[in-house]
Amino acid sequence: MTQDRMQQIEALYNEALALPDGERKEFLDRACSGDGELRHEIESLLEYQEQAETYMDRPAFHQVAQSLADGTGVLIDRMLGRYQLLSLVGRGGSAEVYCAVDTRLNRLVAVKVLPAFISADRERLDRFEHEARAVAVLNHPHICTLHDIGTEGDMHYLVFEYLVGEPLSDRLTRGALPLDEVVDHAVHIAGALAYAHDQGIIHLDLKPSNVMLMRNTVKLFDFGISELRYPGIPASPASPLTAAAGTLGYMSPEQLEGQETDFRTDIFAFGVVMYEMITGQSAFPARDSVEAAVLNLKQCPVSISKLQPDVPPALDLLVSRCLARNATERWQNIAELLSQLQAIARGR
Amino acid sequence: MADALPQDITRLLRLWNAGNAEALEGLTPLVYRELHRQAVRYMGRERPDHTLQATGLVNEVFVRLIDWHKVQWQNRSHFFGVSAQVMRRILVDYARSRLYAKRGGNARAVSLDEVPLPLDNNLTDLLAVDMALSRLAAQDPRTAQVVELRYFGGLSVEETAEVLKVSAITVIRSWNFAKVWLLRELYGEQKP
Repeated sequence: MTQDRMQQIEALYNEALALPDGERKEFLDRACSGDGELRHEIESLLEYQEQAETYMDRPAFHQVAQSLADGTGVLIDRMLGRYQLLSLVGRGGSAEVYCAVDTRLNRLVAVKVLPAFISADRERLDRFEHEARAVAVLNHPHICTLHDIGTEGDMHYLVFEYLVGEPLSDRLTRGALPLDEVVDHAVHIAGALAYAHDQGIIHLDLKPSNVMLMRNTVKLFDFGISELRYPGIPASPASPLTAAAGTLGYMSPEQLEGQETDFRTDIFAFGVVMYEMITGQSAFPARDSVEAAVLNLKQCPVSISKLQPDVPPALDLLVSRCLARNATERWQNIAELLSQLQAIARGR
Repeated sequence: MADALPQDITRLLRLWNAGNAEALEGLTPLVYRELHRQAVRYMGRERPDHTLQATGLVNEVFVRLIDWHKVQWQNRSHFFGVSAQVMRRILVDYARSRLYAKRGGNARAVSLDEVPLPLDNNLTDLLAVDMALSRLAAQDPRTAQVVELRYFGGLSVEETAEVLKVSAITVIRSWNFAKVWLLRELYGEQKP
């Protein structure tokens, strides 16, 4: 199309635009007399007139900055307090997790930054800070330490010990673990839970991706902070529907049904993790929706001894008792379970 | 990174304008840093759209950084024109690299559930506009220039008029026309 033609179209378009809707047809009849193509051009452009009103109302620079703010990894190279963020290592729940340097102590840490929509909600922020303070008192060799809670401008963040290792979830993609390792890990995990439960803190999101296998040891992380657990929507015990799919397979019946949770909720999840370590299979597979998960729970998982005939009956029994649908039929506290586990470990 | 001095930026813009492609490499980090700064401001706000309405002089990256007393090179409107072009180049490159990085997925989650990243509509839109705008420029360079100045350069109607030495009403008419033209180009003849 020639420049002259374009200018003609632009001029007629603007003239038509200035007229009330009802007069445009008559105007175009006159202005484009006989030139059907011209008329079609202008009419097809007028179709977009409404949409155009708000189109490109923010310059590209702001659009990109906005998409950065909505996206991930925005904070790389930034300082939050004394922590310099180096790289984005993942997302946990709704938080972004960065590997960072603590410039004062010159060591690596993991910094979890809360998204703006939580920071902007006073009530959620209060709950978050309350929970974080509770978790900060945990000091145990098998629990990832929370070093610091900080605020920088409008941003709120948590600083954790940086763990180097392989998440149990990654290890499980290669199948079952040898029984000796299972028992070792189980003793460590149960020990960590027993300690936390003693301090009155429930994990409520125990799953393989929250267990880090490190050299000669195991650490649990993401303890008891609900904002790190349920992405997106306010996390109340009565609305766990927003749990990530990766979490559904480890949630207890009481969590899935929005009932009260307690220490025995962790015991259920512990059983699911144990089952998977021993057999290499999920106890409750294919739970990609809450409905499917609830349905699945109605069926008992295939018995461990069927899948792994070498498993000592005592261990099989221990896990089955964790997985009872009804919390009153499970182990009633983790300490009891732990001493049973230790007895099994000694017997090997 | 130390802050670049205003005279350096002026010098880089002038070099780029004179055809020195390497000057863009010096300008790019400055724009990136401003982008991140702006993004952080957005993050702290629940509804940024309402609190940070961009009106006029939005080409703040260069405007804020430049030492105006040192700009003896031609004039203010020439500077706006050049910085709009630079901004377009840098933003388009940025959008491309980010979209590419997301698909490539170079960051591995070491310990946490991986959540698939949503396709970023803002960035794909930006690339689409850039390409459609090049097509518009082939048919109607003046109208395309209005878009470059307003959308990529962030100039107000008055500033755009100053750069192009036309009236504000002419800019408004071109801008309205360009928007429907681009929308039709991007969405096709039939309204979606």
